[in-house]
Amino acid sequence: MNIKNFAVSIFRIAQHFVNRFIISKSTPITYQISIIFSLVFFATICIACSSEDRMFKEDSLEKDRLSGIKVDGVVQRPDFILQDTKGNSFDFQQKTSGKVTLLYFGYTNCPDICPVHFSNIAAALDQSPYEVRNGVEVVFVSVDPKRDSPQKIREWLDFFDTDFIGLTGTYSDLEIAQNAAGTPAAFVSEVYENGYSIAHAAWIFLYTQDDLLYLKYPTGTRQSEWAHDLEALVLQN
Amino acid sequence: MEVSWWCSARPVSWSWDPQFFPGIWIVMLCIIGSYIFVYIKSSKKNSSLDREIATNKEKLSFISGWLLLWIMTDWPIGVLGSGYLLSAHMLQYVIYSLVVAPLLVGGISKPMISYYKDLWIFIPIRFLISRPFICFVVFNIVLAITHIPYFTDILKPLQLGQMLIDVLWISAAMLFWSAIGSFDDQSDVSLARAQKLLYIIGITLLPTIPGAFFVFSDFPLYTTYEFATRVFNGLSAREDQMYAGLIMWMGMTPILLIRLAMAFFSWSESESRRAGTID
Repeated sequence: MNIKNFAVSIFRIAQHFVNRFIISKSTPITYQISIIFSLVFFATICIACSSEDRMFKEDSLEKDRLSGIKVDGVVQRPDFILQDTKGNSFDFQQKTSGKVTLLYFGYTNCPDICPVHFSNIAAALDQSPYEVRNGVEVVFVSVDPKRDSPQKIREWLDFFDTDFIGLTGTYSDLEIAQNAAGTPAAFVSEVYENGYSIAHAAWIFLYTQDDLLYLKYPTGTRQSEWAHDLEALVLQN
Repeated sequence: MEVSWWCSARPVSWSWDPQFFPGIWIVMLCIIGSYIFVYIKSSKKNSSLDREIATNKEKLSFISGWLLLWIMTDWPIGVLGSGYLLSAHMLQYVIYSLVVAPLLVGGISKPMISYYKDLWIFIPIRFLISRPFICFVVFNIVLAITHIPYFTDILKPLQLGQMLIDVLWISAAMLFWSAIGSFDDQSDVSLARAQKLLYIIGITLLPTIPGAFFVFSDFPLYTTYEFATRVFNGLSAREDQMYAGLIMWMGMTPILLIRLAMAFFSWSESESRRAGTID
């Protein structure tokens, strides 16, 4: 039997099956309509189930279901002083003490990780209640002082949220800050014709109200996960 | 210059520098090549026929459908839709399903297919086309499956996955529009017209269900678009998803209105012709 005959035989069986059990030219309209409704129901269930709890905010906030990675041991909120986007000195430990704080080291020319992280955090906070938005400090430390002036950092952060805090400093101050946070210092990784890229830690550190490092968030944390975790940590203290 | 077989979602930032996709070019050339081949072959076989194998209107319909298909699949819309903007993905879907497919189907004349319809490979297609309801179901199953986040997020980063989505969309839509065209063979013109309109209203209304999920969801549904770098500053993944939902809702409406207007004028023309004959 060649392929053509085989295909034709298979088709004949399928045709018989469809005509006999599913639908033929004489299938009544009520049956057709019921199939349409079943199809719509099936499609709705499929989309709803596959998106799990990501579509709408969850009713229950559970601290044991946090998406961030728990930090072993006791790590204190770091102590460093940098310059904010208004040019004033900013004592990180003192200014953020007692609040849920997200700390990130990046740079504004970053093509992917930094803008996606900040866009997702901003969107998650935007969907959160006022108490949560008010209870979270988001701090961005630029590790590229050569290109990132305080004004440029401010403009970049304002794309996401005008309440986000931007910090910068000299290379040595930035190294001290990164060491204090327990992350390796960023460095120039590749030089292009008209610029360079910087290798930096992609983690976001989360400090809780007790001034301890509680969680670390990798690249790929979803908006729904941010919204859930921040709400759980702020409201359940 | 970047060269890949087909568009796919990649973890790189968006750039307006042109990208080249030989796979898309080959498929597009195969489509137009097949049309020209069938046209020439049918013309030779039909040399005794006093009319042309395809009218200018039919040729124009096929060529405009083919050009639009290319524009929607290739850079930049294809690249945007495959990995950066859900709204571009949705625009592709609406144009493929409601504009490209009917144009391509409308460009294939009856004399062109008359010599090939008995080929064994076309037997299942003929079987399906003669059952519009099955084509309608296939069209909507393709719509549902290709918009389930789990499958979409798996397929989008793969070049063959994105190619599969494109092929499924256009094939299901062409099957549906061919089946709609098969109503013209019925003897009862009014019934045929009413059935055609019912099916067109059906495919216009059903996509509003996934559209509602996009518009009312608090968070992005697809990781592909959530973690894509932003194309336009200020357009978040959530807003992009909302626009995609609106395209699904609103994009279908003009097509439906055009179809309804066409049906109305054709009915009014046939009525006045009949009145003239009676007079």
